[in-house]
Amino acid sequence: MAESAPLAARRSGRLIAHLWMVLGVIVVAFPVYYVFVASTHSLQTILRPPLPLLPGSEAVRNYSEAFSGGVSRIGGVSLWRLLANTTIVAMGIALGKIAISMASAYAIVFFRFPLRMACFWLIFITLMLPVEVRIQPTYKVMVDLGLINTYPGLILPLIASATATLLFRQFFMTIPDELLEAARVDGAGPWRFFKDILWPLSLTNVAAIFVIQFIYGWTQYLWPLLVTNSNEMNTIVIALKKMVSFADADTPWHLVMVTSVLAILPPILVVVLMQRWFVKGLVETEK
Amino acid sequence: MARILLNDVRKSYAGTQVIHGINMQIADGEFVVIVGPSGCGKSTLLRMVAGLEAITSGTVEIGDKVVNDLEPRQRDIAMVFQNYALYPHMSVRENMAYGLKIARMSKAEIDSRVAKAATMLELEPYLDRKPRALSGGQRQRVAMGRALVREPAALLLDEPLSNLDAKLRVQMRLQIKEMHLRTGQTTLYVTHDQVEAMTLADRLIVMNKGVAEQIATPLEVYQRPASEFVAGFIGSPAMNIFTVSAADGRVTLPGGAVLPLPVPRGGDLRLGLRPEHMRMAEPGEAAIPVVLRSVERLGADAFGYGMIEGSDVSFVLRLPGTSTLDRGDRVEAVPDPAHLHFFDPESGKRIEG
Repeated sequence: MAESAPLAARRSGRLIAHLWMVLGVIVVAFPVYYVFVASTHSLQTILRPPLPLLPGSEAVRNYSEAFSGGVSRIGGVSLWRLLANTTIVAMGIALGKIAISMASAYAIVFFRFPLRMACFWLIFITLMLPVEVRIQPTYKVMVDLGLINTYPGLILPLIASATATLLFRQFFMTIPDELLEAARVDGAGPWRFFKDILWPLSLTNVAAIFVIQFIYGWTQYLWPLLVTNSNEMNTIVIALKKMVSFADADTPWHLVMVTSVLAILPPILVVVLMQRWFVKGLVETEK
Repeated sequence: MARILLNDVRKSYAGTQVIHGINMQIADGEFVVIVGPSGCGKSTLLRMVAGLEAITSGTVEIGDKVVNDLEPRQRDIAMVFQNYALYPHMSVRENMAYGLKIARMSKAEIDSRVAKAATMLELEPYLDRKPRALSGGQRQRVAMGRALVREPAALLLDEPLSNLDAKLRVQMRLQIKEMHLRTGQTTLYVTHDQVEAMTLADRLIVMNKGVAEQIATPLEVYQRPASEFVAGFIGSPAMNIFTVSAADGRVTLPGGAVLPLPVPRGGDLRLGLRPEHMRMAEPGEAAIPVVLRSVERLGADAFGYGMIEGSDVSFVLRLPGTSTLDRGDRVEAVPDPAHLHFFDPESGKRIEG
């Protein structure tokens, strides 16, 4: 009896913990679920409250309508085009950020040059400046360069990343000096050291940063809104906003919900696929 | 393979000199060990030869070529690091082949060299493993292999055995010695372990505070240490060194006992006596009176640790393994006159008698 009492207490404690977490999941997941439910009902059902809690029977019709011109009728651009635009922008931002932040972290950690620490602090300080603060000059530069309504215009201003630079810097600093020296003795120059040793060792970090930055790029709102005025260049988030800017009754909510679901899916896909991949990487280096 | 020439090599960090002018010529195929306590500059000296540290002044020549301003890869050297510094994402084979690949050697040549080194180091079963799946000793052998496949002019080893356990260290020490005999590679080896230094070296550089105290063969360093520092550093247990006042073929010991010894000069001197160069006094013979505080029995030998009677100078002497002496006993030791070491109390330099 004396032994089973704490055990029972532990079990009930665990039960409470689980209930609490399940509650958390419900709170977070319910709106997403509701978006999905709404995307499977007809516009009439959605407009007549209350919205059912279970998926309806209109899923196939709504989705095929959205892909076969429903969205382009409202937004003036096809759903395919929106997804392609957003993918290009998100990939561009994620890869660009990785390229730039790795290069700058590499320079700061492994090279001695005048004003090295000044450069580091400069990068560090830009952490404190959100995109919004410098948005007017950035916009002006983009206009002058003729990059309005282009992919570079959407991507370039967002690819400098102090956060990623700091993360790579921290990681590079954990690489033992002897590894660099061994590579130097083996005859590897700076480029080979990066390509043959630093890059393979950084892959798990790259994967993690890619996931974070892909989602960051995918969900960008303010900048794409400013720098595009042709519907052809819209990202899916902007298109969503444009779709609901009509009077409530005129908004084709079923198509909005389909578009929302499709806006959520790719980031989830990236997280799921990359997670499996970088967990494998983590396990390998840990062993 | 090549000789290495160090010509008044100095190193300063921000104005503080840490290496004070080392001169040495290492012959082709010679095995030279740099030994000294931590912080004596031995690793810095090796890294200057490797090209990993800039040389403040003086020149380093490898194979008749001044290499001061050359990158490590241009110096035709290979190096083994204390923590091995294996590339964690590469297999054993790739680790060994990496330097050769960069040198654009043909695939066939790389394979044959790696195979040869793997055979010599008994690494064949592990060629496709990653370093993390290897034991410490195996990793150490991979690091050796990576250096050997290069067939460099000079092989540089920076405390390669200090991360291994005692048994493995002895084993690897023998293997390194054997490998050197087989390859005849000019080798520069840094260690703080005097046993490694004594057993491996053709010649030793004993370093202290950035100065080469003595450059000589292990036996010469043992028999005729050039300074009090060398005398105390080489030998185990360490040499007894204490101040005596000398006059007319006699020395007065701390504690007042007087001992007839052939002294090189009068006045205060530092006298060095190795624990193993001592015998028990005959009755009535002038001797060093020692009160034992503990006796370490190692089987073949025993070492008695104590104080010179009437002083606070500690004294060690070797006793037969069968000795029944114990804590609190008083012994009288007579030094072997063939193994006396006198040092100048000011400079610490050896005084020839």
